[in-house]
Amino acid sequence: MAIHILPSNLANKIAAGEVIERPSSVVKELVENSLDAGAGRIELELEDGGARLIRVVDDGCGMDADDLALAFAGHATSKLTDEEDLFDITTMGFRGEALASIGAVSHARIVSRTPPSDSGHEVEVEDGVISPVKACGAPVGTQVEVRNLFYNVPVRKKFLKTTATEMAHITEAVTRLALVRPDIHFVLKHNGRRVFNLPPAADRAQRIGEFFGREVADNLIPLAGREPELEIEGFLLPPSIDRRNTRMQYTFVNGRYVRNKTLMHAIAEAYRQLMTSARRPVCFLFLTLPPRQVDVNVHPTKLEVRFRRPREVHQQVLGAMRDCLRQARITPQVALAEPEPDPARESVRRAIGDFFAGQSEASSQGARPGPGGSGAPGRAPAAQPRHEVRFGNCMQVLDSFIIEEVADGLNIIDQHALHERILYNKTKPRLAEGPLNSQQLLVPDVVELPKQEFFAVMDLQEDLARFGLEMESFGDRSVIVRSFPQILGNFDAKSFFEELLAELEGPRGARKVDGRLEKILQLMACRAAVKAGQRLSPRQLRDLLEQRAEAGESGNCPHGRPTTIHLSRAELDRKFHRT
Amino acid sequence: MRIVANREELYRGLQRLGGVVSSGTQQPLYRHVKMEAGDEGLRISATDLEVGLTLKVDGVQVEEAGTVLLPHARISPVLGATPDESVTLADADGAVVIEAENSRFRILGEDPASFPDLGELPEDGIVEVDPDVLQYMVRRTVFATADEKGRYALHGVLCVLGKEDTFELVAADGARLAHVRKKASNPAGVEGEFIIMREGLEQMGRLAEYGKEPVHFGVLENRLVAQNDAGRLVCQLIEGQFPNFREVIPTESKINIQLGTQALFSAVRRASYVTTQETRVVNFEFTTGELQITAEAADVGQAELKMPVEYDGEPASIAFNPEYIEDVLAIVERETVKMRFTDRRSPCVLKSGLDYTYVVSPVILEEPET
Ligand SMILES: Nc1ncnc2c1ncn2[C@@H]1O[C@H](COP(=O)(O)OP(=O)(O)OP(=O)(O)O)[C@@H](O)[C@H]1O
Ligand SMILES: [Mg+2]
Repeated sequence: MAIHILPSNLANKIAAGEVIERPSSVVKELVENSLDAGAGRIELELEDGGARLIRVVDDGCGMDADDLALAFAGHATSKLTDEEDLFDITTMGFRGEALASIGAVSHARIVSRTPPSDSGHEVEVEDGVISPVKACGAPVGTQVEVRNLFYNVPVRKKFLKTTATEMAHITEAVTRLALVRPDIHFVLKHNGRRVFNLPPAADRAQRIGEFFGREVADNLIPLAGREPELEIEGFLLPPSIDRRNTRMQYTFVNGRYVRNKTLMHAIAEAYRQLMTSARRPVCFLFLTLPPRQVDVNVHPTKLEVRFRRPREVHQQVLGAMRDCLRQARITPQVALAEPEPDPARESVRRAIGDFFAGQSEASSQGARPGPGGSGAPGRAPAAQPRHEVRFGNCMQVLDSFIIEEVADGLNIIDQHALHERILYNKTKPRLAEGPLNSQQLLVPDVVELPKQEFFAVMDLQEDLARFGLEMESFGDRSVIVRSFPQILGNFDAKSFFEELLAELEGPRGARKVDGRLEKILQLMACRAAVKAGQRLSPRQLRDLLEQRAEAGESGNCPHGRPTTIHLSRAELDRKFHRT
Repeated sequence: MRIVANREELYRGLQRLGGVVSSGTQQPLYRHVKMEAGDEGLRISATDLEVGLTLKVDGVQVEEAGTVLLPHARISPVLGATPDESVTLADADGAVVIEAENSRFRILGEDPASFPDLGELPEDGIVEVDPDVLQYMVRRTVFATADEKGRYALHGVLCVLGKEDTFELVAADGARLAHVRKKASNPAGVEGEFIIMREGLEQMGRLAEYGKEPVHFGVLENRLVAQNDAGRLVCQLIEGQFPNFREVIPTESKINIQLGTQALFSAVRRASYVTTQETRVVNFEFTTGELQITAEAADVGQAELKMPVEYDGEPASIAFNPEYIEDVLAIVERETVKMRFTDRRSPCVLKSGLDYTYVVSPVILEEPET
């Protein structure tokens, strides 16, 4: 393979920009190069989350002395020759820019040897200066070493997060590549310890299991579809295995991990009636279409792609997903043996059900206990009339709000928002005094997490300890939770971590300790508070209203939603045209 | 179908089925009751797909055999409110007519064939347990199960069949565990364990209560079937990993104390009046001859209760969520319970009789006393 400098007009056509944002970007570029070089085994060695060292060793086609001389030069690529090729891309790389960009912000070295030659060569770049190529001993393949990343870009260096966070990003980057290529052996080491060793897998399902654990692997529903210009395969997960965000929707186009609106929309659509609006499905989709049907040169990181015919892709993906879900009988979960539903009867049944549902209110109002009959007064347990939950001049309505009569009108209180605010206000000062009360678990909860989430959670270990959540790592992907904040009452570690990560991930990501503690506190208050839709016991209602002073002046919950709305007498009068 | 039924008996049966009629809205079918009139009288069934229950109804004369499927929420109040002693039910064109002296209702039904088959008691490996023993065991364990959101296996109760006819139930919610061990006649020598859903076990306890005869049960594939003279219950088993309960129960403890059940319950309950959601903690402090129970919440106040105890060791203390202690004291009948623990950080055991063990994990307070 011979590297040649791209003609400058072509170079210009290729969007320029920053490719290297953080250590994981380097990992992504280097592993992609190894894949393009036809490697069968790729080994990554990292130190300090990649900030100190990233080394990628492959057994691919290698580079000869001439190639090496050009490797760190910008727009040097062996993968693309003329302008036309840009629309027919079959390799991961094509811009000829990655190594140059990496060389510009680190001390990098490549040692490489092609199979026919007896010895290898090396080239180095230090402080922007590319060394002459020297001969040296080396095994067949390529080894790229990147040290002191961002040594000369203080801004970026400063914004590198903790080792655990960077490792989470790196693992995510490797995950995306390893899912595409289960045939490749991947090894990842960090500070001398092996994070994972994934020999070539029999199939994608096995790889998915290696990264995401049993729960996901055991529930994969295979999907396959073929259209003239599009091949879709992959796996869907049943709606019971869901997430708070779309991070677990892995979509790949022609072997490249992408985030694409058309695909995201099709996924949301396919699951639309199967889950609540706050939850997101999990799936792995691999699309193959003629290279000419996709433009990968939208953004330098190649994360975005543009379909030439988005409407068709949307329809075909949605169709394939729907078929798959239908075949897997993904409708409300059914456990006992159930007879085949007859579509005609089904609709009759629904009609009857709906009819009665509509009637229920009227009929229950008309019902009266039988006149002194022998049995108990007629009341079916399922159709019990609701009791009013009142306290003083307050009453719970719609299981979510509290209406209070005050001198000049009405207050309508959002029970969840108010409670959340109270808990937040009471807990915040306590935090300063020491860790919160912590309920020990009798049986420690072992939570298996996806790799990248595992690192992110371990990163929060100290912060969570201040809330009374004690945990430690267990193996390379699980966390043992030994105690939890008592304020939470019922605690489900898995969903707690998931929500917490989603919360911390936001654009205003919490780099500073204070920001993180604040987010954790908000989440705890939210989870500990009574929910909307929860019928309060009279005691709960009283407790809530009695503590109202704790909510202080703030009329908002910690998320900024109002806790109380006031409807004045004057307003009511106006609404009823009484003026 | 045509039957003449004692209204009260039929209504009672329907109410008992109420617990397994699905309240969800998605599948109207699972809000229905199947009524089957035949040679053996009337049987009524309902299922929410996880638990299925069939009950025999006494006081029914079958004039014409047949099966109907009716919405529970309609038929049950109609029968409840009818003043007459007996009612006649007869099917007519997919509907059922319920007639009493001064009333006539026509309620639309569904095709009974759409009701799922609830299954029979397996032929082999049947275990037989005394109805009072079963109720006793259920009452001592179900309250300690975890709520649905948490670890799935903990939403069920572990049943263990062992050598020499032992029958154990174990429930846990992460912070506490309840274990009861009794005997059940097990002629086939079935050994093994399975996890039964909380709701299923509760219904099994009720079945024991409704009937007079022992409850027979067996496991078939992934469900449990239980049967007695009152009816039959089918329940899904939970697949999952139940924690190893034997490892969780500490074998030895440094501090061993006997306490009056009633006095302790009352003290904990009263102390809990000053706890709040953020500080749901009562602290136990043992000194020579005395147990002092305290609670405190910054925005409420303090409580301090004393009770005499037979204790003469080193001063010792431990703190709990009062609910965990109240729950268990509320159901044990014996006058005294034995409490043992080692320190503020390790689990505490409460024992009532030889067959019942309850383990609860303490709450670690902000500033552990030294
Ligand atoms: N591991 C490797 N084995 C063999 N050749 C490699 C390897 N890594 C890089 N090369 C060679 O170096 C060239 C430059 O790599 P670089 O990553 O900078 O550009 P690219 O992969 O062509 O495009 P892109 O910037 O899109 O990644 C490649 O075209 C390839 O010929
Ligand atoms: Mg490249």
